[in-house]
Amino acid sequence: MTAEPPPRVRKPETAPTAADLAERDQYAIMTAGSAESVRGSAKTWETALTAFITLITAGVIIKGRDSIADLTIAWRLPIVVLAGGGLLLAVVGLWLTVAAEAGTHPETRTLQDIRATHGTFSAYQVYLAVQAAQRLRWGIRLAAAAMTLLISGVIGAWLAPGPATPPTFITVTHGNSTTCGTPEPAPAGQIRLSVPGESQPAVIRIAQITTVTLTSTCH
Amino acid sequence: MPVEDPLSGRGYEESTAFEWTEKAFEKLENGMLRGEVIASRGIIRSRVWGQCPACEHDLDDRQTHTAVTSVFGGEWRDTALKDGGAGAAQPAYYQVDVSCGCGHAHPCAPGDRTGCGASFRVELLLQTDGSGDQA
Repeated sequence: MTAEPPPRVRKPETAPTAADLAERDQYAIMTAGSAESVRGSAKTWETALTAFITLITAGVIIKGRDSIADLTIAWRLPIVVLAGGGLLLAVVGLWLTVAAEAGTHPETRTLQDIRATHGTFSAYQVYLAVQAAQRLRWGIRLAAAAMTLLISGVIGAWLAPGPATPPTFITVTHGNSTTCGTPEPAPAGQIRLSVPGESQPAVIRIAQITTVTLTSTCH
Repeated sequence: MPVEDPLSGRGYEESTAFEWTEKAFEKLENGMLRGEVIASRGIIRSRVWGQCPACEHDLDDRQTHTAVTSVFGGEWRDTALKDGGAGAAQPAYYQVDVSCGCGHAHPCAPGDRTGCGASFRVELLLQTDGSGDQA
């Protein structure tokens, strides 16, 4: 035994009021303007997101570090992932935002096709607006994620330690003394060091040296 | 003294009297007036066509009941789809307010306006065409 299908019409309890009709007409205006509304919004978002991405990219310039090649692999890898992922998401996000504004598949459609598929032209316009709005929402989400990744990458680049300073001093132990300084040309059998704070270089015979150590400072 | 349309006997008169809603319901039941509300791809549209309950001229009213109201973080689907659309336990009925747009210029109509001025309400079963409206 199958259940009776519900009646296709039901008697309304009230008639429409003048206010109901006025609202209906106002709503029809909003429905007709749906596509333009989304396009306008997409244009605004596109401009704003482009500005945000540009601003973040400028953050790298302010820092002055134009290469991460001299970072250690432990810093370089995550920064590359963040920056690369951020740029990829930014491109996709902005593409979706532009697509929401301008569309992606120009094609010809007949009114008959539209009526067959969507019922009315007005419903078709709303359908296009909904499609554009969905693209725009994803575009905004991806651009927001891109900005987060890019900002993280920039901050990571700021915080990453710079390349290790090569040692420019040597510390020499000779007899009971230790002398630190910058090596200078010296005659055979000697080491000549320019010692910070001293006006005259220190001259040490090689025969007296027990250890030589490279250092980055003499402190 | 109001001037009457020679065919329908009705001059232009804006009216939302319940009488027209009742007559519209009767005409829907006996097939003189037909109506449908369809949800397709998340968009609800309606069509009411047949005899106007007031002037009895033919009318064909088409409306779209969904609009993109807010782009960011908002809703664009009509709530009827989510709360009581097809697939819900109870059948969903959709109210459609129709103003006579029969295309006849009734006597005393303002400007170039057509129709007799009567407005009425119908409640129709919401149907889906299966294009992604079950979500």
